[in-house]
Amino acid sequence: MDQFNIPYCLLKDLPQKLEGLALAICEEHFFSSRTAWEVKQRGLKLVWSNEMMWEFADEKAAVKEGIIDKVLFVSEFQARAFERLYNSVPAEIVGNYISPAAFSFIDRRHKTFTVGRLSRSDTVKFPEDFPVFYEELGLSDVKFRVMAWDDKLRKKYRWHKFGDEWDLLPQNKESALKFLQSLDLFIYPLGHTFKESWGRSVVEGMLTGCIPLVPAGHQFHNSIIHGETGFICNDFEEYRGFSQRLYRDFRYRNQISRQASEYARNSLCNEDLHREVWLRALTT
Amino acid sequence: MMEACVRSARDAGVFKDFNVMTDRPIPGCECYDSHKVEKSFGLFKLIYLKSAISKLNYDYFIWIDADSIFVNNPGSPLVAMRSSPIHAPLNEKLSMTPELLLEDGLTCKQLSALMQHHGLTNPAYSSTSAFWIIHHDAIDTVYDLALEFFHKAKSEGSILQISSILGYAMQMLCGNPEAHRRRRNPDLWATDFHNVAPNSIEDDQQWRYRDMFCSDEQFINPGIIHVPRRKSLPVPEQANSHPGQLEARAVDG
Repeated sequence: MDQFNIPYCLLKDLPQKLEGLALAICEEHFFSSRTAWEVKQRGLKLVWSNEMMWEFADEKAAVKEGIIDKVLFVSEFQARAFERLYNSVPAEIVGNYISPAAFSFIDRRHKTFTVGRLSRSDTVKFPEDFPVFYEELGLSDVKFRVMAWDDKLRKKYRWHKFGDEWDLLPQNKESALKFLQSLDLFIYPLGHTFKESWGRSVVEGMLTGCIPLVPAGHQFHNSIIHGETGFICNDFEEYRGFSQRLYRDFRYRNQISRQASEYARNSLCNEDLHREVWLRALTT
Repeated sequence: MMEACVRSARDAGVFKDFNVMTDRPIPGCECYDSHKVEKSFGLFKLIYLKSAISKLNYDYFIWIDADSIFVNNPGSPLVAMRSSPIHAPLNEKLSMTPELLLEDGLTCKQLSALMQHHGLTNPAYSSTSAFWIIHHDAIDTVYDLALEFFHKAKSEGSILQISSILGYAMQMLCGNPEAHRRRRNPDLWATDFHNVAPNSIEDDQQWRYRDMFCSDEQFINPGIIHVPRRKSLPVPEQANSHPGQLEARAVDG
């Protein structure tokens, strides 16, 4: 906040009467803590963005009581998941903005070809077969890196013997930038009960030149041009085929890597476009 | 039957431990009281897995149906697992025979759609429950995946058999289903659907495998043969006949 010159204070220190607009984003306890109601009582209009694919506690009650004046979604995909709940609330799709300056591109010249992923350490984000899936890709002389590994994931995959090729890092062990720059491919199979609403780390990875291979059935068609800036895979055979071609063909990999980064920089994370979208969302 | 199975294993030079859920003692095996378990849909295999087998001190378990025989030593069955926590041999892609009716009363196309509706992203394969291998630490996961699929399918109007729900769990966990097809491990295990396989170790030779629907053919010589079409198996004379239907073989890690 200091970095961007944004003033801040605790809720209890806010004046009791205010004019203007409150924006709340992805705060899990925003409703269950009754903060949303306190914000409204102060006279502010409330704009809310959940960002996930599931309702937070008491979110439905807030909608029913008219607490939320406008709802923002990160994707059409997410909006569809909430269309019944929010059918009477003004809505806008704003996407997500990532500063390209924070995720600089690098040419990949890793000694060992590296595949990995970065996400919240939530077991539902990982497919049941996760370590087997990576190992069955058929890539020789490869390193697998995962960040935000924790005890819950360790327990989930306790049946697997992780060899020396695995580098399982706890959350924030490295900066996201350093971690993503260490990957050639961002291979992101997801758990069968999980739906990805946007995929922040996929786009962050693309900015750095990391090539995404992601599952169909989420919203990645909005952030990836299949075959040009990454790959949307229908099944394991497609993951394997695309990753093996990228592994063998350095010039092809380099080309896709650059295209992914340029597309993320110019289209997905275009500052002017996002400013326009957000101004519209918060002023109309 | 179980006694004949174990005897054939010993004759083939397999001396791993056999742990048997049974209502009477069987020589050469660790025997456990089979209790009265609901047999419908074959779910007893999962119930034994969770409640009894998981308590045994082994790293891996191999389930072998009692109506099986050994005709040679299959070597190391664990190789078939690759790095998966479970191996249940997969047959054909269900999309190969979409209108074929399965024992669940569903067509292959319907079962495939059901599996994919519940999270399977790969093409679905038909599978078996007569022979499978599982890592001890994956028992809870396999049990939960299989039972969850069973109950979800039931709530949608389909009563699935053990082979389908175990096959679902297997395909959710194996990474690369193509690597777990039965024909990838022709020396390990097969079902003799047409009663053409050798009867014993003395008769050990290649035979022409055909699946239930004759859509898959291969000359094979597996160490373990599931023989559901044989009315009787050669039982040693001194033993009483044994009605046990299941057997768990455990190998140390």
